[in-house]
Formats: sequence, C-alpha cells, structure tokens
Amino acid sequence: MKNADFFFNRELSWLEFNYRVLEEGLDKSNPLLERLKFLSIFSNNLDEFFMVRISGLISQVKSDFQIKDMSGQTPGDILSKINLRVHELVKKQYECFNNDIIPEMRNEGFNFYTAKTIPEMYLESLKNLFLKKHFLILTPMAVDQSHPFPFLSGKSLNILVKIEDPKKKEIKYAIIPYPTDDRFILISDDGNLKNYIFVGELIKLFVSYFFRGYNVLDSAIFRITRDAELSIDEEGAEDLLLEIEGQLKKREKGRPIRLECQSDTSEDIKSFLKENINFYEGFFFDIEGPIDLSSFMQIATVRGYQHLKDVSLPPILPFEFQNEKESIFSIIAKKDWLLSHPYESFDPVTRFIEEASVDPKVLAIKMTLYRTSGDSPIIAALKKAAENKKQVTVVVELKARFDEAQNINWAKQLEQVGCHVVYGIVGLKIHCKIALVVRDEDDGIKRYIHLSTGNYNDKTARIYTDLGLFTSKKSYGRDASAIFNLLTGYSEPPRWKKMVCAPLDMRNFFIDKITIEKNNALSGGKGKIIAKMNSLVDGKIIKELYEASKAGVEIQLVVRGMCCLKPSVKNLSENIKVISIVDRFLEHSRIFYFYNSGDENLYFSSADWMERNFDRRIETLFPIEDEDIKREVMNLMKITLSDNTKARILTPDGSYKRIKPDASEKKIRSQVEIYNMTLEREKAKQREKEVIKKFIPKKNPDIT
Amino acid sequence: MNKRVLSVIEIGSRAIRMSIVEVIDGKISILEELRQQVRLGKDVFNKGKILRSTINQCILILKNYKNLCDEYKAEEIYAVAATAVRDASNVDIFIDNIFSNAGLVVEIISTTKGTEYVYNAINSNLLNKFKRNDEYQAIVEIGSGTVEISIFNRKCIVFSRSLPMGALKMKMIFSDAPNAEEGFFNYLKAAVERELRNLKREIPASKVSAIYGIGPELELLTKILNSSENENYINKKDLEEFCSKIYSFSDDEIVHKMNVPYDYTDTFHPIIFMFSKVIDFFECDKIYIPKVNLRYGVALSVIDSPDKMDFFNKYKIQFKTTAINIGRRLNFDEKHALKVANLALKIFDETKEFHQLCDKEKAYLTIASILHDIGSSLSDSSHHKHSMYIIKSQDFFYLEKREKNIIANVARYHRNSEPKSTHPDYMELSPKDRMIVMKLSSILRIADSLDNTHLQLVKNIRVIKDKPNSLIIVAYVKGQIFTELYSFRHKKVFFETLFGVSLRLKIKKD
Repeated sequence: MKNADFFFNRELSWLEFNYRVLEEGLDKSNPLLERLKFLSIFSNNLDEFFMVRISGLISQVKSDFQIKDMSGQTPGDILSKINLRVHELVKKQYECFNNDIIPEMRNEGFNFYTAKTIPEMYLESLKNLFLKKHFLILTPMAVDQSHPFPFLSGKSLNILVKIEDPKKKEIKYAIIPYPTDDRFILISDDGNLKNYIFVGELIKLFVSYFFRGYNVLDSAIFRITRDAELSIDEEGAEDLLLEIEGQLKKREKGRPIRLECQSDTSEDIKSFLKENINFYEGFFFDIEGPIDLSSFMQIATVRGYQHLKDVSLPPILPFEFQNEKESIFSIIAKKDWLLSHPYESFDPVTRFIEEASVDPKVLAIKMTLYRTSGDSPIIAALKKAAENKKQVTVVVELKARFDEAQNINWAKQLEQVGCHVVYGIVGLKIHCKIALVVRDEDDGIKRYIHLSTGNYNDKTARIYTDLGLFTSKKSYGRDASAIFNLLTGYSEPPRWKKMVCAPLDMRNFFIDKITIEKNNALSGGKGKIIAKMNSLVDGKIIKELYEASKAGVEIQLVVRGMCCLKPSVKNLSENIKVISIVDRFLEHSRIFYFYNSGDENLYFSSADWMERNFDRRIETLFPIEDEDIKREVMNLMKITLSDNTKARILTPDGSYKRIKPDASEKKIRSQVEIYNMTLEREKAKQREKEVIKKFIPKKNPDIT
Repeated sequence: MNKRVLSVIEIGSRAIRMSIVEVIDGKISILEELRQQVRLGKDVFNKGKILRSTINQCILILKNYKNLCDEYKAEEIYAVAATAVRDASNVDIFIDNIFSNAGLVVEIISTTKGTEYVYNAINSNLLNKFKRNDEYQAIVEIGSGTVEISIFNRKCIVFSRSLPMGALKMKMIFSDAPNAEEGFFNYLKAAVERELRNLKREIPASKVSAIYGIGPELELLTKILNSSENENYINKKDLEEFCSKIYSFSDDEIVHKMNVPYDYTDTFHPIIFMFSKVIDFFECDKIYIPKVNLRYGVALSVIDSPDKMDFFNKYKIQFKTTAINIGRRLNFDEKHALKVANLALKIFDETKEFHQLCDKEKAYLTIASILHDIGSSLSDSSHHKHSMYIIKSQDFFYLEKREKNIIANVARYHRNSEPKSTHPDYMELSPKDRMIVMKLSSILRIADSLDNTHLQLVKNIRVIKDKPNSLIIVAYVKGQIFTELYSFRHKKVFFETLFGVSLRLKIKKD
C-alpha cells in the first residue's frame, strides 16, 4: 500500500467538514433562520480557510515544492482539488441561498433589495441617508497612470466604478472601499415586513454623487481575501507583545489569495480587476448574489421570529450551584463536579473566579486565557482580585488566531491593575485551559482547580460543547501549580501526578495507551478505544490506530472536523468507525476512553490528535477518577455515538454519509437528547428537594 | 492547630530547586516543587568561579521563587547552597549579589550538613526498618560535584565521607585525558575503584542491610526500570543489566531510547555507572530510592529543632559516635578519652549552680573531652594546640562552625596556659562564647587531672557543696592515685578562679 492509501489530505478533509456545515444550511428540515446561520458560518469558515490554510500551499507551489504530503499528493494537486471543490460548494451555497432561503425569507416578510430592485418609493429617503452619512465618510480612490491600484484590506468590500470624462472621452476607474460592519440598512419595518438594502447597493445607487462632471458607466462590488497568517519571529522577539502588535498591522497587508465579484459584473470590470490584483490563479469567484454571506449572521440572529429558529435550549444551572449563599469552594470541597456546556451553565465557572476575587481566604488566582469575550466577567473579576491584593497570574495566549488584537487589549488592562500577566511562551501556543485558586483555610492551604476542554469565554460556552471539571484533589492541585510554574517560566516540568502535558509527552502517552489496547486484543482480550475530538491529523497516532484496528481493537471516533484517518478499509482499519456531528452547538470537547482490560480509563484534554497540539502547543490531559463523573461522561458518549440525525459517518472514500434511523429506530439527535437528559436530571433533583421541604408534623406518640 | 508555610531553596550544581511546604501540627506536606536548570557546576568545575551570566540567571530564578513564596505568604525561606557554590572562588560575590537583588540570604552548607539533612529526611520514614542493633544501612548520593557516602545504625550516623568525584567533576577531570571520549568509563571505573579501596580501610561495615540512593537520576532510573513511578527500589540485577545495555549508547541514544530528558545527558550515564560500582562494593541486592531530598531534610530540621534543654539528649549518641570515630582514625587512647568525658559531664551536671550553662554546652563538653588529647597523635609537645586544629578540621553533625570553634578551644585549654587575649583562635570567638570556653575548659581540666595516669583509677565521682563557696569532689578510686592528686592541685585553679570557689578532693576507696 502507498501512503496515499492510508491517509486523507487534511485540507480536503477540512473542506468536507465545511460541506457538512453547508449541508445543515441546505437541510430543509432545519428552521429557516438556522439554515441561514449555517450558510453564514460556512462563509465565515471558508474565509478563514483562505486566509490561513491556503497561503502555505500557495507558497509551496510558487517555490516549486514537489514533496508529497501524507496522502501522497503534491501541493499543486491539492490546490487544484481545493479549487474545484470550493467552487462546487460555493455554487451549492448560492443556489440554496437564492432558490430557497431568499424566497422563503420573502414569504416571512424579509426583503433584501439591490440597486436594481429597489422600489422607487424609497429612493428619496435613501438618497438623503446616503448624502448625510455615506457620502461624507467614503473616499473614492482614482486608478490611473499617476494613481496606481490602491492597497485594499483583506475581506473589505469595495466598489469599482468605471467613469467617463465626457469632454475628453476618457475612461477612468475609481475604487470606493466601504465598511463591512453594518451591511444591512433597514429601510422600513412595520412589524411584519422588513425591507433591507445592502450598503454596497445603496452606494452603487448614488455613486454618481462622487463623480460630478463625469458619466458613471458601470460599477461593481468585489472583495479580496488576503493571507492572514502571522509570521511571528518569536526567537528574535524581545517582547512578544510588541512583536504581535507589529505583525497585526502587517496582517492586513498579506498577499491577495482570492478575488470575488458578483456574477452580473461586466467582463470589462472583471478583467480590469484580474489584471490589477495579483490573486492566486484559479481562486476567482463569480458570486451569484451578495458577496460574503457571513454577514447574514446579523439577520439570522434577529430578535423574535422564534418560529424560524431552533427551540431555545437555555443553559441549566445545576441544582447544587443554585444556592448562592453556599461558597463555591465549599461546594467543590465536597466532591468533584462535572460541567457539561452548553447544556449546563457556565455561571459556576464565572462565579468561581468572582468569589475568589473577594474571598479574604484566597491567596492567589491563576488562569490561562486563550480566547475570551471582551466584556468578560472573568476579566472583570481578575481585575477586582488584583485590586483586592490577591496574587493574580494570567497566562494570556496572544497568538490565538484572529483574537490577537482583542487579547492584547485586555492583557494590558490586567497588567495595569497589577496582575502578573505572562504573554505566552516562545515557540509554543498555550492552549490548555486551567484555573487555580489557592486558599489559606483553617486546616491548611487548599487548592481549587477548574480544568476544561474549552476556553474561558462565557459567550462561546453557550454554543460550544465542552466539559469542565472542578476538583480540590491534592494531586490535581500539585499539577495545576506546576503547570503555572512552567508557564510563568518559574520552573521546568516536574514529574506530574495526574496530568499529561504536550509538548512533553502527550503523544507518547496516547501511543502507549493505544498499544496497551492493541496488546490486550492480540493476547485474546478485549481492546476498545473511544475518542472524541475536533480534528484527527497526527500521522503517528493514525498509524498506531491502524495497528490497533488490525489487532482487533474496536475503535469509535467522533471527529467533528478534519480527519486524515481512513476508516473501514479492509486489512487496515476495519474496526475503526469515524462519525462527525454537526448540529446547532459546535462540538468541541475532547474525550478519550480506553477499555484497559476492564479497568477503564477516561481522560479530558485541551488537545486534538494533531501535530500542532502535540508538538507546538502547551496542552493538558487529565484523568477523570470520580466514578459518578465517569459514568456521566460515558453516558454522554453513548448518546453521542448513537446519534442518527446529525451524525455522519466517514466512508473510505473520504465522503461523509448521513446516518439515518431505520424505520424501527428511535430518532436520536444527540445534542437535544443530552439537553433533555440534563433537564430531567435537574428537575428530579428539584423534586427531591421539594419533598424534603414539605413539613410533616410528627404526631403525638401517645395518641393512637 | 499550629500551621505555617515555609520554603526551602537548594542551589545545586545543575539546578536551583525549591520546595514550598506546609507544616500542620508538625506534619509536613509539600505544596510546590520547582526546578530550574543552571550551569553552576559547569562554571565552577571548569573555570573555578561562577560566571556573571550564571549569577544573573540565578538572581532571576530566585526572584521568581521569592514571588511564589510571597503568594503563599511563606514566613520563612531557607536558601542553602552546596558543592558548586561552596567551591567557587567568587562565592562571596555570589551570595552578596543574591542578597542585594533577590533579597535572599544563602547559607553555604558543608557536606556534613548536607548528609545530616538527607539522613534526617530518610530516617523520618525508613523504607527498611532496623531489625538488629548491630545492623548498618548506607546512604549514597552521587551528585555533580561529590559522592556522599554515609553509614548509619539504629541510633545515629556512624560514618560519613564526601568524595570529590561527582559526575560533572569527573567529566571535567578526564576531559583532556587521551581518548577522553571513548575511554571515559575506563577512567571513571579506575577512579571509583581506587576511592572505594580507600574507603574499605575506614568503613565500619561494608555489609549493609539497605542502601538508599539519592538523586533525580536514580528516581528516573526507577521509573525506567519499574515502568512505574510508585516503586521505591531498584534491583541490583536490573541495574547491572541496564548498565551493560547502555554501555555503548551515545548520549543521544540514551535520550531517545531510554526517554531520558536532555538536561540529564551530562550526568545520567556516569552516575548510573558509578552507582553500580558502589552497589557492588556494599554487597547489597536492592537499592531503595526514598525520593526524599535535602530540602525535605532542611524543612524537618526547621520544624524539629530541639530546644536548648533537649539538645544534648537528642544528639548525644551522634556526638559521641562522631568524636570516637575521629579518635579511632587517629589512634587515640579511647579509654582515657571516655573516662575524662564521663568525669567532665558529671562535674558539669553537679556544678550547674555555678556555671549556669545548658544542654548545648554539655554537648560541646562531650566532644571536647573525648577529643582533648587527639593532638597527641601528631606530637606530644603542645598536643593541646594540635587538638585544637584537628577538631577545627573536622565536621560534626548538628553543630555549626561557631560551635565547632568553641569545642576546639575547650580542648585546647585542657592544659597549660589559660585563655589569653593574645591567643588569636580564642579571640575570634564572641565574648559570650569565650566565657563558655573558659567555663567548659575549667571543668575539662579537672576531669583530665582525675585520669592523669590514663589508667582509669578514678571510678566515679560526686561533687558535694560543703559551704557556700566550697566544693568537695569525692573520688571513688581503685588503688593509689598519686599523680592524679598532684595534677588536680594544679588544674583545679582555673575553676576556682573562675567561679570563686575552693575545690577539694576527697578520696574514697571504691
């Protein structure tokens, strides 16, 4: 067998993931605004893909790099396949958008007008709006012999205008870049009918105001996507903060990768743009509709219209955390707690930090922050803690992609109030999610730890499925402290009590675990692995999984995104099944289970099975030891694996097939199922509490 | 509930380590353990001093450590440094720089002190309990600069030696030898065997019931050999097999094939190799790896430091054993030494009302009286002066350098001249310590006089106060004691002058 027979290419696999996202948009059984949301997410994902994943391949092609990847393909081969597939997918996306979504939206009272379709009755008010606002802030830039084609930021929308000097009969071009943050202008809203016009279309309508004395011959909207990968020279960077700030400015100036025009753009304008923008050949897109559907997220999340949205599943606050009078530390001291987001509320995590910030017994708070929301209550609590003279250590990963600028901003704020802010580690991204509170209690120092598979972000915790663990176990505390000593540069790695860390020994740890299952299977016993992650790309791990499969180990993988492993291939991976779930919540938890001859091991981790996680990031993996929690997680996994509504199975040819229930089978949509189960559990606890609350007076024993 | 948080920092040859511990009702639990690599050993063993860049690195590490101590509000921080710093020509600059920049006082500890701490730590929870009184166990620590070997019995450390042949030091020593690369282990083998042959002559027992191996390399090896960190021993057979397996491995191969961290490459192989030789020497099948360290020992000594009243009782056997061992190495008159010690302690106990000294000083007197004549092994003439510098050159467990100087002076003044302001060794002491020397030496003089013949004719004594300023020493003797009487008459004067009492000797037949 050749390498090509062993692995899928990661970029092509990623495109298939994005197709699954698109599928949710195409799926007529989903509510209309949810479909629109998925189309929007599809676009957003694709933008990031062009900005980050493609540029490396293009560089390789341009430098004539012919070395094949693990799927046996050259960068050139991969790029052409990507090009083909992206065109197909975008076509599907717009077919759906134009033929399904827009007509249905119209039925629901949403009208989106263009310069061509806008009814005359609105022209006057729109003209006033344009002259008062847009005309004043926008600046056309001429393109001629003395004005070279201007620099246009990546992802910005622009209008190219073709004008004519009537006296000289001279043709000229000008470009008007316009802001993309507010794309929709609400023209009228009478409660039932919402009429919108796109900003670009409005500008097109009145563009002649910019060019008095000229004839406007033509105008068209277009967009450039640029390479946005930061090239941070960490080795040479004296100050990582300054280096990243500098690089952020450069990001906008990355080389152009993709050019998008609307399909009704004249050939003349298209050729002008193609001549002047040095995008990668092939990545020209004729868009059958508005460019950049990601902006439709604004419409998909419009207030009201519940009948066009998924049933709301508000996060549930577990019963034990409802009593605000009981300190969160006393709750955690009783036992380990699992929080399964977004089914369960993120509030206990926020409360953990908030209580710590004002608790007189707390000596220190330490946490990693990778992506967090700007107005995060956690940041506010950390600031408060520092003001209350707690020792606050925050390890900020500045290099969290596309969140860099935001991270720099609040990292500086924290530093100003006296927190000890560590800006990452040279050469490694800090991806582990861990928070530690050290308390000086009456019976000694006690450490409280929160470990998670997801970021400390109260906003994404409502959309991402993640698992968090609260514990006050000493061994976890020692390891948590040691991780912070490592991250702050205070100490070298210790001998871990419970945790496993990347880039130190996590890959080997997994290989050992897989090998144990393999050996158990080889010696006639049972071998079983269940793993859930976002991406499976690491070649070494995949090879070990193949070996385990050949030995008879049953392997069930839930891989939401990229997967380079080829499942169900005879004599290679017959015992491996890979499913992917794409639904209303983004599957994000990383859970690893090994049968281990019946002495089952269960772990959570911040890491995917990817080279970057094993080799270039600081990640943690920790065992789940509490038997109740173990059972709970295994139950979650069982439900996930039985999904027959939003799950797709990966086939040996790399395509994904939706799993459908048989006629006799119950329909299982795992995310909803898990939510309902959680809700039922909490209701039962509530009922139990109410029973206890009933006051039943004791009878006088003497009276019979 | 009595609780405190303290921190112990150990500045070693290859790393600076810190343990932050919490002590609750005398029980220690470790809160944090940190380690940062430094090249102190490489600097000192190669250049003789600590380079500026290394000093700066140490300052940075210690500042960070101190921050962490502040987080826990650790009230006490003990920073100790051993071999590498001790041997550096710029040790004073190093200590001063650390103090001014990181605000930490670093104490340079002797090898004896180091052994004492490690012994305390091991002894606090012995992995192999003693079954017999005549049983011995050994502690072996192979470091970067030195090899520390000590042997102890149920009661105390009976032998301890520091050999200047740590792994890094040996690499440095043989670096310019012909064939240094390939032949290193041959050189090392010869050197280890030579030292062990020397050791054989002095050691009280080469048959020990247990060996404790100390050091991160051995802990790592335990993990490699037992595939579990929970095991606490290495079998001799496994060690030998491992040694022959890696014998031809390059450092790189050791890292990759054996999963040894990179920063151990310099020392892992030589230390394991040397260890296998030491195990051979001790004829033991098993090495216990107690996973305790000097820092734990320091913490123990801090929380367990006996108060002044209990000091003598706690350590008397250790003091006596150490003093006798020194004496035996120099062929001393053991019977005389022990008799004088016995008499001196009796006088000490029965004249407390006059001298007002406590338990610690009693310990000084024990050692000084056992070793008062040790200078005779060099020459009889001025032997009291030889005794002084011999004692000064020795190390004693559980005693500070200051205390050793007191002991040396007490021994020196057991005869001839009384202390004078023209005696430099005496004047080095503080006025308070000088007073201790005078009081103890005045007692020692009387005790020595009572065994002037070295025949132990005085079996026992009692001190009786007959009037407020008059004491009678009743001596129970066997036979005639002429020279003792004569000597007593001369040697009692110092005591009489010092305490303003008259002293008489009354002889009773035993």
